[in-house]
Amino acid sequence: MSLIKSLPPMLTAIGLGIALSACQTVGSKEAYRSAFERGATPGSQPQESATQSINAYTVADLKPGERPDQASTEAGLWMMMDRVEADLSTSGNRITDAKLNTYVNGVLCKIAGEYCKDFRVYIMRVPTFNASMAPNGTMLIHSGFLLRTKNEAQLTAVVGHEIAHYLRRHSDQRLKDTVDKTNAMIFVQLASIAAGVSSLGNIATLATIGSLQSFSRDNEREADGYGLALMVRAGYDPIEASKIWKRVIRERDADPDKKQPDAFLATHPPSDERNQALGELANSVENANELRTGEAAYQNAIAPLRASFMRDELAKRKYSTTLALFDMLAEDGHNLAQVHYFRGEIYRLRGDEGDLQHAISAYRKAIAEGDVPPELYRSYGLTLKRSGSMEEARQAFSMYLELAKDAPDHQMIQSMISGNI
Amino acid sequence: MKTISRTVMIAVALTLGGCNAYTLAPAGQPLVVASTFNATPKINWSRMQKDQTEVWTVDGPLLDKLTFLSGIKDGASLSPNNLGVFNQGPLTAEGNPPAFRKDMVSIEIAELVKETYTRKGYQEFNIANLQPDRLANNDGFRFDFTFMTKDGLDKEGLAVGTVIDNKLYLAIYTGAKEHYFAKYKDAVEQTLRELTFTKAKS
Repeated sequence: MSLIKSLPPMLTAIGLGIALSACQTVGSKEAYRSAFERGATPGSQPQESATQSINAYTVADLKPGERPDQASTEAGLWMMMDRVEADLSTSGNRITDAKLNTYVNGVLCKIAGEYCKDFRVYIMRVPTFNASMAPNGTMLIHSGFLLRTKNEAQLTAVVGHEIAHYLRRHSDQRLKDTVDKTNAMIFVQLASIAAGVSSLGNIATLATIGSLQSFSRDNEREADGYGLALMVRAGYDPIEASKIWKRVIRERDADPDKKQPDAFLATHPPSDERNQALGELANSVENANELRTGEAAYQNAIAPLRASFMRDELAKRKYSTTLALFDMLAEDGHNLAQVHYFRGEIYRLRGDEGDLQHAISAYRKAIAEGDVPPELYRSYGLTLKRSGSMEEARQAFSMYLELAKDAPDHQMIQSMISGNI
Repeated sequence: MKTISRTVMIAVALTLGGCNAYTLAPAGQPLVVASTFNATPKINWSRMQKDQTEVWTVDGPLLDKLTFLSGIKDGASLSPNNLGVFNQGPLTAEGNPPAFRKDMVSIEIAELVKETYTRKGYQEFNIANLQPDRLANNDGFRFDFTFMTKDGLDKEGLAVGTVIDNKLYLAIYTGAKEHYFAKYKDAVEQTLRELTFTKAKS
């Protein structure tokens, strides 16, 4: 509460911050700032937006519980998204873990306030950095996003961004924009496809929703600024928003192809710009460092599923970027035994020169940390066997069988211990 | 209803198979499978073959399917051609495809099969009973598995494989857990037990 009261001084500070950095790219910076100011003042209606692309199609924000007029094209979009949502709700990719869903919904409500009931969150088991909001309030969060964020504040930054797309009706803005560009049907067709492709595969559905979310970059900047304001209002340290992009940049830089980690980011402003712009805005918020990050609560919430999220990353076989990601998780310091184990798995699966020893070393670090999964000893045994340390390999395999009483490969491992294979 | 289902299955099979088409593999008639093995079907199968990959089915590949993957080389994926061996629809999963590595042991090959299925969008893939076995008179391995299609259809499977001269030879049988897997399992097992290489492998 005290945060809301103290917003005006914050905004003054922001204004000062912007003035000091006036030599920066004016258009994009203005988009972040003006959105932040609007988001920081609940109930304010749009005035002059910072960029022409938003200005031209400005519409009133949705009110809590509001649905578009049934006769409108926007309502048609909502209906199509309702169909997509019905399929998502029963999708096999959906993570239905009650505790995690309760936690994420709780965080969403903290920043959505009176709009809380307008959103439905679907956590999908997809190992990419992605979250999106359909026009009807269907919010998708990928497991790869949850793995990459460090704390609750970072989660709220992105959830806030997605809420901003909804409140600011960016889909409707984009529709109006597209109508003017004579390609109206393309947008409607995209929505139709999204509603119809669900029988073809969840990934296709998700990708099409992603296409619908390819708002203009100014929409994205506005959503970033607005989202930042929402997280500050809810008491979260805004500097965490820019830290997300630092992590994305680090992962991208580890990619030998130097590509953005996924298609989602291709439609958004460059990560470097977001990192800088959000960082500057956050630094202009008074006493921001007294606000919370919610790291312990966040890590506790994802802990039961983190191993499965990490295994999904491994399956992508993009080892350079995954190593960079796991390095960051190691620096975060949560469950180091698990992180070392999965680092070992990368080296074992990659099999490049020197990887055998890297794998053995990583498994040993994990064991030293304690509390490792039984499967570690099987992997450890395989790498030891491959390196010629047969006796140590047998010991590792024996440990595996001792810990994994119902091992699905019991007979095979037993044969390996006996030296038959 | 059954006729409609079969028509749909065949249409799907033809779509997945591109230009390839199914032909009859009559029971009791010896043939060469996947350009690699001598085999004798124990029941009437429909077969489709391309290069060193071959698919057999009775009621359509969505319900039962016996796949022979032959001579998979180091660095190659398990679905090298367009027979739709693992497909269940379009996907855009990020990352590089799972690939066979010549130094893989049975445990890792089982992981590779699991990854190949899960990357194609199948879920809840669980391996069981991985154990030493023989394929075409060569030492190898076998394992059972269960998984689910994205539409929630429970399936069962078994795989038998061997690595010879750094190449992987694998036979995979899958079927709907309800009725179909069990229906042809004995016929599959018998055929697999009798497999021989057309050319001797060292």
